[in-house]
Amino acid sequence: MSEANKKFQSPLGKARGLGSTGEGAHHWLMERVTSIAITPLVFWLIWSMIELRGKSYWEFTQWLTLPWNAALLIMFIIGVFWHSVMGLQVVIEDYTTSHAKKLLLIIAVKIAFAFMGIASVFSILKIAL
Amino acid sequence: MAEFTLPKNSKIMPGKKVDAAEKGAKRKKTFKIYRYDPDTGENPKLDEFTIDLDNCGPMILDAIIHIKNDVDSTLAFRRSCREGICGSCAMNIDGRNRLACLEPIAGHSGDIKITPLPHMPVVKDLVPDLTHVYAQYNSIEPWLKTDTQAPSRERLQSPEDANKLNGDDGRGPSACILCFCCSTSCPSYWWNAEKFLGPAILLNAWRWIADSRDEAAGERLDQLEDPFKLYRCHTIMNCTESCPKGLNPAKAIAEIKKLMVERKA
Repeated sequence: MSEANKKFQSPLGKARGLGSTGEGAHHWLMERVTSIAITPLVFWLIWSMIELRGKSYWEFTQWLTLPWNAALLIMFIIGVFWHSVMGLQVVIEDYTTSHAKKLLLIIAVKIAFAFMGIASVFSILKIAL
Repeated sequence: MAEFTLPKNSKIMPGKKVDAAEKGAKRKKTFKIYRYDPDTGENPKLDEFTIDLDNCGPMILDAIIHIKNDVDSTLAFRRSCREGICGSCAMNIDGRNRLACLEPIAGHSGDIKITPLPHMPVVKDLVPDLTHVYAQYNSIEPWLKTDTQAPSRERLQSPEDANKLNGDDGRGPSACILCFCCSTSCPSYWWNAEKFLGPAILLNAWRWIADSRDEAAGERLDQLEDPFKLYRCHTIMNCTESCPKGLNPAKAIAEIKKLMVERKA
């Protein structure tokens, strides 16, 4: 809707705007699900890093070839990136007023995080397999 | 971007100082009051009025009524019931959104600073423009919606169901007086008031969703399911802290979010 038309819009018309998108509940739920999923994985990762202290590169790669370790690490990477991208989306939505800028930033962040996530998972698999 | 500083024409300048207390007054108190007159085109000012508390009642509202009656009749503010039931005299008192009529002067040491409700357009002095927030209230259709034919007598409701609205302690969602202390204390509402409904409106949306006599809960939830209308709430909880009636808008919003998930399962 153009700005020229908005000037004469009634307060109720402005308040209703373009209506509800019917989205948001899934995003809200997944923010919570991913944060709960990541929590035990963080403790597992810290514990693993303590265990792997001072070990050689070969020993570390051996550790990663165990399916259990590789799977948990991939889950951790996916969970963290998923959670971060959802959180960043909310921050962008909160503080960016221009619709075009908002949409572009969200898409850019999603592509960047997808790339980083895929690259991380690929690297883990490359060592593990 | 969100506004973190005031625009140039909203910067508050020092205003006049008026000492209206008589010499020898024992209970002098200074009120620093935000003044803005759209007709002059000047920046807002902070006027200082010193009065004798023996000349007015015990509440902040009594003091500003005394200032308007006896010191400066150009001071503009809303007030009506003077007992916390109409919600007209909501304003920011010493940094907190309060109803001036329920706020004792004795609870404030030093000078008392009074400004309009934060982040709202100002009509004049302490009078904020509530057009948009009222329109948002209108948008949630705050009335009983039913498709079943109306009964010949009143619509029945169990005391337990009525309690969901009234609260065991009388502080349920139906006790909201629409003073907007909560909405105007919410940073999320400051940044995204155009689309975010804010705690006051969401509390009232919950009041109708929770009403056992209403038949439009699903439709109401459909209307609210939006990243901005509902989910701009980040549980900051300023709303609950600022409610002068002791209500809990944050909990009402949490209940709506719970139902959003519940209806998926």
